[in-house]
Formats: sequence, structure tokens, C-alpha cells
Amino acid sequence: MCASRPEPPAPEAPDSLRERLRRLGLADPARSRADTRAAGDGHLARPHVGVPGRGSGVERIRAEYALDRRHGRCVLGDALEAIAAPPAGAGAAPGGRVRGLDLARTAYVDIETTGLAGGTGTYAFLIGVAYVDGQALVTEQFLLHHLGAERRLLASLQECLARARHLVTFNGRRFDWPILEARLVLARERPLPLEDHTDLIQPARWLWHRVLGTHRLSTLEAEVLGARRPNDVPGWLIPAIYVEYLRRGDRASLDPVLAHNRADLLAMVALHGEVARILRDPDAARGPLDWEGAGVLLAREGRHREALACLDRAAALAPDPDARWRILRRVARAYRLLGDADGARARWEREAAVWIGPDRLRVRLLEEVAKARARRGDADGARRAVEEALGLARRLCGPAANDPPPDLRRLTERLSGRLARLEGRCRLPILPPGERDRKAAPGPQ
Amino acid sequence: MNLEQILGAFRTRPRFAPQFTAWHTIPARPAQWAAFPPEMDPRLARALERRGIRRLYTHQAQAYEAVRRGADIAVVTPTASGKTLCYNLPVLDAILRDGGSRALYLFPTKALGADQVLELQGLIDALGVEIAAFTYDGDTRGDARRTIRAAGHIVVTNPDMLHTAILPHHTKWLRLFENLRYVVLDELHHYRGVFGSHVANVLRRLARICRFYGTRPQFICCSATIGNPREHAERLTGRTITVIDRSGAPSGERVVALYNPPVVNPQLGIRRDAVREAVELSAELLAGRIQTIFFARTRLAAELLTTYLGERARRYHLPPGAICGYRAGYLPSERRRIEAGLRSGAVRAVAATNALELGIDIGEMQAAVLVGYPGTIASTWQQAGRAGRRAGRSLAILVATSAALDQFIVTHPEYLFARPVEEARINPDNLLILASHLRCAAFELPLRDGETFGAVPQPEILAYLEEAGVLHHEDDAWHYIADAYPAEEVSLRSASQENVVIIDTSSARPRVVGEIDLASAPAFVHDDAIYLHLGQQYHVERLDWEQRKAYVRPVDVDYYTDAQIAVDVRVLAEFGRSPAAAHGEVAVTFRPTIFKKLRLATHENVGWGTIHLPETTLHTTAAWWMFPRDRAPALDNDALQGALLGVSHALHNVASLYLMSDPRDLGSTVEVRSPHTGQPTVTLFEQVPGGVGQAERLFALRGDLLEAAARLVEACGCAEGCPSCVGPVLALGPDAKRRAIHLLRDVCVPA
Repeated sequence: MCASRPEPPAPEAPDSLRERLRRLGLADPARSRADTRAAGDGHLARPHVGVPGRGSGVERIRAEYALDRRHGRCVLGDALEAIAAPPAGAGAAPGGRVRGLDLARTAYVDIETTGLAGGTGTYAFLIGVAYVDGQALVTEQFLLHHLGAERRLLASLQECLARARHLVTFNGRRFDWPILEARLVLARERPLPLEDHTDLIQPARWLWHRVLGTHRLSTLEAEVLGARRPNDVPGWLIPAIYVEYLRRGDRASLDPVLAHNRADLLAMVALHGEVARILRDPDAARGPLDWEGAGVLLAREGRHREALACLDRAAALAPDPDARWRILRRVARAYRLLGDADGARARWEREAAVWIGPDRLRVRLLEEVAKARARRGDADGARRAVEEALGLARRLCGPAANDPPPDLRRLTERLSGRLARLEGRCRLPILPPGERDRKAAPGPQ
Repeated sequence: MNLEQILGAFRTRPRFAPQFTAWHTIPARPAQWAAFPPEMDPRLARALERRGIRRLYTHQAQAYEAVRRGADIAVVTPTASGKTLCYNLPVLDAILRDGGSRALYLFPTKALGADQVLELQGLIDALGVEIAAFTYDGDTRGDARRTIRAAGHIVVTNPDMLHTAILPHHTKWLRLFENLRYVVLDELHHYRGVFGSHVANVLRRLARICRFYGTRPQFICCSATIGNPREHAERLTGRTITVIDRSGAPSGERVVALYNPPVVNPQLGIRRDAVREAVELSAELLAGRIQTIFFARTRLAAELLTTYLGERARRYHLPPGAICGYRAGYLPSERRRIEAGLRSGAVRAVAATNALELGIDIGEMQAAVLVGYPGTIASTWQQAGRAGRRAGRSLAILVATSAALDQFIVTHPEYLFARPVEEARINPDNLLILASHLRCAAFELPLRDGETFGAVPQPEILAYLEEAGVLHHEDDAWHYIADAYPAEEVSLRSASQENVVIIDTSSARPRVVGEIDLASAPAFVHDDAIYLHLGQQYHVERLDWEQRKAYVRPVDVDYYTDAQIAVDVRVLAEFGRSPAAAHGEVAVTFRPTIFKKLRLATHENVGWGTIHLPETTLHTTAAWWMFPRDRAPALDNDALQGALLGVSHALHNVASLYLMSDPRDLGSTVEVRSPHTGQPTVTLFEQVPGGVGQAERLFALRGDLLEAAARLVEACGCAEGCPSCVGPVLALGPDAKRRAIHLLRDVCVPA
């Protein structure tokens, strides 16, 4: 084309691939990342200061904590002692743990990752391990300086955990451990040789969720252990901080993350000690405690007498009749597992005598009284309880007696059936097989 | 009357006989048998004999032998020809030889997967060997999932689960991937368009993961008839495919007839309503207790058919429940009940949409009535193939509507009977789809520099993803570093990603009556729409767009509603241009405007209302034709608008024929003065975000399409334009036909 002539308006040139990708709405760079500056640390936004020497690519940070060190109200040494001590009433439950944890072979593990969703694309860039070494609690942290060094990171972890057989985590069953397992497979490393895994989130949920409304580690740390973290970096920001580090190479920006991870490890040890102390002697709890949850955990260890004591306290504190009813069913279960039919009967009768809750629960209570009496061979007493229950149930149906709601209809039918069996044909089985196990008590939440 | 007598009546009775434009008979075909292959495990032969199978059809034996040789295969044989044995035999045989072997079965839907596990389990039970076959889908419980991952010999799932649940967690599936010998891809023809393009990329990711674990599974594909099985299977799997397409299964004689409803208004070229006409034809079939399946093109037509057929059935004293509807939007439990009713014979007639087209087992139907051309030759044969028996005669009738394609088909029967079926098209390298799956691939394993994904490495896209903060390049690899789980952001079926739930609020306890995909919701469940479900009319009280809920109440009214959606196109980038046409990337905006109330039987307009819904935007590819304004000085803007609409109607229809694709894969719109070209312009766009390559082909065919459109309009027998050529004359104004020809012959620039 002649250079001297103005060019006719050319059709729009085909855009670059980048333009097209942007327009199609694929991963708009502007909104792909949380703004890491929100962390409040000005240095996060500092320009590139040079990537630190590559070296092995894995940094090891070791710290020691003397056993008289406190974490909030808790002394580390006391916590470890409680963890190592055999549980009270050891051996009561068949299959229950007989000894406390062997601290020489126990490791606390907490990881920090590039994402919170899990899956093979989530890297564990920081692995924190805590264990007891002589007269100190030691934390060892393995930090990945660049993603290519991941195999060496995992090899360091293997080495560090070589003697450990017991793993303790907080939410590790769902999060930390599956991610580490995936990383090991991806790096073609062998799995870690562990015998058992204690995930503290489970007892934490039972012991505190109902009273604190949450069982997040940071809340438990503040409310249960009385420990505060003034300058803690929030967990949801950590992936973004690490990605920023990968781009800019500012190692100092990771210091708050390392501190957060160490604090998590200490909190886990202290919380573990608190759980062990409470399960040994629930009265020794220093902070808020859900007595019902304590009862459930004790029952799981086969310590039904102690469980009963906790559940009784919980029932006395129950905020409403439904909660009380739920706890009473756990009480009944504890009596049954103790084989104490007389105790159960006395408990139900006492409860029926003082019950001030709604009639719909009173009907069920009377039904339990009837069952407890029948089990002790008191057919007459059982019949009286059922009659009273049935009368109450019919009154509950009220004007809708001909077409009661389904749950009430089922209840009256069941009671009528029970009454028919008690009257005259008492020799027939009173409790259909399977009924007693069907009503597994619901957990919190 | 039996089927012979009914056929006789159709051929001779004056009411029907003149309307049939073609009778085509496909002769009965005897079975071709092959003995059990000698190298097949004898336990398998005994198990088959126990289930009444003493020999194989030839294609089953061929499939077995080809797989044993190590080939990747595609079996392409008609419905009900025993395709499942083509993969079950080699897979079970391999597991019998080596108990460590694993296989992955992929079906396009959960329902099909569940069907197959039942059949497979029957064969395994007959074997009496411990082989574990499990379905793994969204309904599988958590504890069962662990068992399946560790111990499942055969894992039956769908591409969506592979994409979101299995590949991103492949380390948990170590045992499967380390021992994966076979990947079975059934219903291959379903993997076309966007869905197919996505699935091809999921399979690329699967291949990468298998390489990581040191395996290279063989592919065993099965498909209904498509025009390009080898090419399609090779594009999907990235392998060289051996095609097995000579069926050894027997079939009875099949009669296929084309029926054109009588003309009621010769001026406007309007014919009698195809739904009504199909109901007339059904009378004999219902009376003769011939089990019949009716296929409608739209949900609305399916519901109308269900209603009308129900009325007929009462006249013939069929028990209630003998007539059923079947379409997307019915709950799975409803569907299972209808399928069982069809197999048992309790359901005598079903009015379905193509939701029933796939390999769902409903037994052997004796007759099929297709209300309207399904859009492609392949779908026509699949739907007609629902009537077909191993022995004895069956009948399929295609009832034409007034639409252009329908009229073309019934007046040119050779098009249907002599032409090969359509080709399945996918474009795995669609930029949006490819980039989405590269993200997922990097999440699963870092991508090495120079590593191919598809045929070539994709460094540009990877660099873009790094800039977007998704990837991080280090040493020689791209690592995934974003916080999100990428597979959850990519739906393999872009249209069905989200649904609107339809809730009946008339009783005390609100009840979910069905659901509808988000894209269709503005047209069907806008405020004050009449929504038909299971033959019941519902009035839409309120569509809560944010919550994706439509609240309805059952009503009984004598009208239905028809929504109007305004379409607007903006060109974003031009990829190529000639004097007559161009193609490129566009943003298409859909704005719901009004709806019309139309009386049920007469379709007369009895009212209208406004639709208040947000507009939606589609980024896609398009081709457009320009008709220079200065070459049509005689036309004022109104006349030009009508003529352009006529041209777009004709172009849209011939484009579908030339592309051999479903007309619904394309959309069209016209502008009297396009801001982009500055001229009167007709645009055809792909209905798929990013497009799957159709627009580029349209541009390549630009001259042929103009010529074909001109011929279609010129050859139409109507006076002033009709739905069969330029569209309804009422909407375009008189003279639209002549003016459209003027545009096509005189105004447009030679291509």
C-alpha cells in the first residue's frame, strides 16, 4: 500500500490472545486475590528485595519452650503430665486406652497451605511439628522457600517424624492429614508410619461448642486457656501472604505466619492437656464446660458412672425442656450400659414426679417409666404409667382427635399397643427388638 | 386393529393417505452370529450361558478381539444391539485374568450409569466371582466412597464427577490410576458441542494423571450412529481409533413414513397444527393398543400432547396412567416410575422430549410419532429407533410442522433417507474451555515447560494465568497457587449449571413440582407465565431471580403464554472479513420484553404483559453478512427490517442444513444499521459461550449459504412469504418474500 495515502480505516485487528481471555471472563487478574496489604503489615507491599539464596529450598526453624512456660492459665509441663498420665478408670471400657500417650513418640502437627479447599493443587508450604525433647517442648518448622523444593520439605518431615507413632492435630483428620498424604503421593514418597491420630477438634466440639457457640481453636485458646494473641495474622489471609512472598521473595513477610503456626502448636498442646485434665476429673475444669459433652466423652471411654454424674449436672442446668429430655435419654443409656435397671427406674420415676416441661415430652417420659417398670417385672406399675401417658396423648390430640398429626398418631398407636400387651397378654415381649438401639442420641449442632 | 391393519388404514383412508409424502421400509435383518472367542475366560462363557447367551453377535466378538489386541475402539451400532457386552466382555475378562485390573466407565448422566451397574451386576453375579462394580456419583455416601476408591474394580461415574471429584483428588484414587486398564465411554454421540469440548479436555487431564501413575488405559467407546465416529472419537480421546460399525444384531422390519399436515391457509402457507395432527394419528394406535412414543421438540409441545392424548385415552377407556409425559424438569423418581411403566406395558403412550433420546431402557416400543423434525438426521433416527423390535414390524411417523426445515424434509424425503447422518463436532481448543481446563490440570499436577496439552504446549495461556495470579512459574514448571478449587468454577454443561426450582404454593406445605435451567427460565417461568407440568397448568405468581425460585399455583385457563426475548449483538473482535461477510467474537445480550397470551386451540392473541427480568450476556463467535444500504435505495427502513428478518430466517435454516447441526445451536439477529459494519446486517451466532467453531465454518460457506437461502425462498410455493421460507408474513409485512429475494440476489456483494 502506498505510504503517502492515508490508510482506509482497517477492520479492527484481531485482539491478542490475552485480550480475548480477559473478555471471556477467565480469571480476571484484578479480582483474583485478596489484597494482602489488608494484613496491616506495611512491609508486605514492599518491592522485590531479591529472592534469598536457594540453598536446599527448605528452611528449618527450631524453638524450645521450657516446661514451666505458661500458655494462658496453663503450664506446659502440667499439660504434658496430664496427657501422659493413664486415664482415670483405665481399663473400664473394653478396648479403651490403658495408658496415657507415650510422649516420646507423640508429635503435634499443624500445616499452613496455599489454599483452604484441599485437593492436589493445595501445597503445604509450612509444616510445624511439636514434640517433647528432654526437659523442653520443641517446635520445628519446615518452610518451603520455593515450590520446587517440596520433595526435600517432605523428606525433612519424614526424618523429623521418624520416631513418632502418635499424631495429634486440630482438625487434622479433615484438613492437614489428607493434604500431607496427597503431597507424599505426589512426591512419590512413602506414607508416614503412624499408629493413631488424635484429632482434638472432636473432644473440643463436645466440651465447648454448646457453651461457646463455636469450637475454633482461637476462641478456645482465649476462653478455655485464657491466652490471647494480640498481633495474630488471620488464617484466611495466610495463602495470599505466601503467594505474595513467592512473587517478591520478601522472607520477612512470612514471620507473622511462622509465629501464628508456632502459637497454634502451643495452643494445641495446652488444649490437649486441658482435655485430658477434664476427662480425668471434670470438676477440675477452669473455664466454661459443657457437662453434657463431658458426659458423652466419658461414656465413650466406658466410664458410665462418671458420665452419669456429668449428665446429671447437665440436666440440672438444661436451658429448656427439650435439652433436658435429650440429656435424660443419655442418662437412661448410661444406666442401661451399666446394667442398672433399678437405678434407671428410680431416675425415670423421680423425673416424672418433678417434670414441669410440656405435656408432649411428659407423655414420652411416662412411656419411659412404663418401659423401666416393665423391665423390672412390674407389669401393673407399667400399665398405670401407660394409661396415664395414653390419656395425656389423647388430650394432646385435642379437637383433632379424629385426624391427629402423624407423630401424635404414631405415639397413640404405640401406646395403645403397649397397653394391650400389658393388659392380659403380658407375657409377650414388651419392647420390640431393636427399638432400644434405634434412638441414638444426637450430638450437638 | 393390529399394526398391519393400521398401516393399511393410513395408506388408504382419504383423511390421511394424501398427506403421507413418503413411505420407506427398512427390511428385517437376520442376526449374524459368532462363537465365543476361544481365548475368552471359560468362566465368562459359562456365566453368559447361564444368562441365556450361547453365542455373540459379530460386532461383539470383533470388539472383544480388537480390545485384546490392544486397540482403542469405537462401536457404532443401532439402539438395542447389545453394545454393553462390547465393553463388559473384555473388561470382565481382563479382571478375571488379573484381579488387580481396574476399569472406569463414563456415562453422560447419572441415570444411565445406574442402569448399567444393574446390568453389569447381573453378569457378575452369574460369574460368581468377587468383582466389585460401584457407581460413584453425587449421591454416593462418604463411607462408601472410601471403599470404592480402594476396592472398586469397575468404577461407574460421569464426566462431571471425574472432573470435580476424582481428578482433583487423584492421590486418593492411587489404586484405580495405578491399575487402570480400560476407560469406557458410552453414548459417545452425546459428547458434542460444548459438553463434548469440555469432556475432551477432561480426558486430556485423565491421560496426564494416568501417565503420572505409569498407566495408559485403552478406550472402549460406544455410540449411536453419527457421521464421523472415527474422527469424533479421536478428537475426544486423542487416540487412533478402530471403528466397529457392522452390527450383527437382528431387527424386525421397520416402516418410516413422512406426514405433512393439510394446508389450512394457502395464502399464508399455514398448515394444520402438528400436535393436533399427531393426536389424530394416535387415535388408531391407541385404539389398537399399540404402545407408542411421541417425541415433541419443546416442553410445551410435550405437555400439550400429554393433555390431548389423555383426552383421547379416556375416550378409548384406557386406564388412568396409561398416558404419560416425560421431559427435563420431571423429578428423577417420576421418571423412573414412567420408565418402569413403559417396560411393563402399563404405560401405553408417552409424550417425551429428547430427554428420553439417550439410552434409557424403556423396552421395545411398537410405534414412534415424531412431532416436528427433531433438527438433525441423527436425532431423527435415534427417536425413530425407539420403535423397533428384534422381531416383528414397527412404525415411525415424522409429522412435519410449518417450519422451514420440516417442510424441506417432508418434501425432499431423499434428504433423510439417502444422506449420511450429521457429524458430531467439538472444539476442545475453544479458548475459554481450554484455558479453564489448563487451570484444572495445573491444580492436579504442575505443568512442565513444553508439556503438551492436546496437540501442542500452551505457553501463552499459562503466562496469562500466571499474570492472573492463578499459576506460579518456577524452575521448569507451572504450579497452581490460587486459593480456589478450580473444577468447581468450571461446569461441563454450561447451560445446566444452575436451575430455577418451581414451587407450588397452593397448599399449606409448599411443594417442588419441577425445575428448569436458568437460561430457559426467563422464557417459561417469568411472572404471570402459564407453566405446564404433567399436563397441569400453573400460573407463575412470582419468579425470584436472585433465589432461583419460581412460585406457582395450579390454574385452569384456556390460554398459554409465549415470551419475546430481544437480542442485541456487539462485535468485539473480527477474525476475518470478505466484501460480503465477516466472522469474529461478539457479545450477545438477551433482554426479555413481553409475553403474549395465546388461546389454546386457535393460538389467537388474547392479551399480553411485560417481563421484568435482568438481561443476560453471552460471549461467543458469530458470522455476519452485510447488505450495503446504498444498493437498496427503494426500501424504507421498515421494509428493510422485514426483508432482513426474512433473509435471517432463511439463512439460519440453510446454515443448520449445511453445518448438519441442530438449528438451536445457532441464534440469529438483524440490524438495519449495524454500529460495527455501518450497514444493514444479518448475524448468525453460536449459542455456546466462546463458540465451538461453527462461526468460522459459516464464514467459509458464506457464498454457498446466500445462494442456498435465495433458492429456498424462490422455490417456496407460498405467495407472500410463509414460515417455511422467510418466516410468518404477519410478522414481516407483505412483500417480505419479494424483498428478501431482492436482498439476496441484488443487494448483497458477491462473496
